[in-house]
Amino acid sequence: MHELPVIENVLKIVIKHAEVNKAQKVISIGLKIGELSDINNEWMQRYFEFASKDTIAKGAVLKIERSPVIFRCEECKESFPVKIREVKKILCPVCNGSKVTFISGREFSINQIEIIQ
Amino acid sequence: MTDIRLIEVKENILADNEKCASEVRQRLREKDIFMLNIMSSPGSGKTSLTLQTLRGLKNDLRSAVIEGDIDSILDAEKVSQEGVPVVQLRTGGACHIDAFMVNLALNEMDFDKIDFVILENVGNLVCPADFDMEAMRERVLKLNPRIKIFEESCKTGDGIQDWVKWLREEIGTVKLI
Repeated sequence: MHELPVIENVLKIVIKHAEVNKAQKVISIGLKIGELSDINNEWMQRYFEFASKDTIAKGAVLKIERSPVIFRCEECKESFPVKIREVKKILCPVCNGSKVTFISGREFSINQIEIIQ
Repeated sequence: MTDIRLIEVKENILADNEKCASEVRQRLREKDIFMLNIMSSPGSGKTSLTLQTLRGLKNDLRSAVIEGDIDSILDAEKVSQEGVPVVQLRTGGACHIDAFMVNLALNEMDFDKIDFVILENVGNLVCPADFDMEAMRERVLKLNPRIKIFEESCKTGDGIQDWVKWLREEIGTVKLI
């Protein structure tokens, strides 16, 4: 269910850019979603197909790029990616420090769209 | 001839909600009002915790509640028996309350008569479905090692006092009470 409101926003932004650029059709949409998001790629595509069926974005393919979860070590200030669903404990790969701060991994943006003019 | 072009968009999908959320924060900050967002699965005790918290704070603070529900008004009726103002939000099927809904609910409140607002969010079966306390503790601490976790029971009352005491102190950081 989380995907549907998100998709409505995606569609709104895509159509706005498509119209400004006088697109006849939108072919693909490049999304950047952080690894920390529980959004499911397959449901995104399905909801998108439903939501876009009467628009110029009908049939567009969602190309979802997952951006990694990044933490920063408070000891040595090194930033490093973490496979958050796999590791048990987050340790700095440089100094082995365990005092870490979450930096990024919750991104939710549209990078680009591919259109036919 | 067809011409395929790649257009740079670079727009945050949730920008509208984030903008509205900062508006909500601003409105609350102007009046030194503290808001608490309670989220968890259906039946896990959000309303019970809301009631316990209201009772724990009733001598010191003027509380209000925003009740989120997909369709019913049962919880709102229960909470209003505590004698606090309640605004009911019915999401009509959507699983979460977003910033726009919170903003609308705040319009219904008299800010000069409130110190503290509890937002009882919509219970969602999918998001926080894991009730393994140790696993939960491990995962949450992994993401934020400084977070404070309270274990409490609304049935026995265990832990409620600690929670209310902590909450009162937190509210005290935005409002002199």
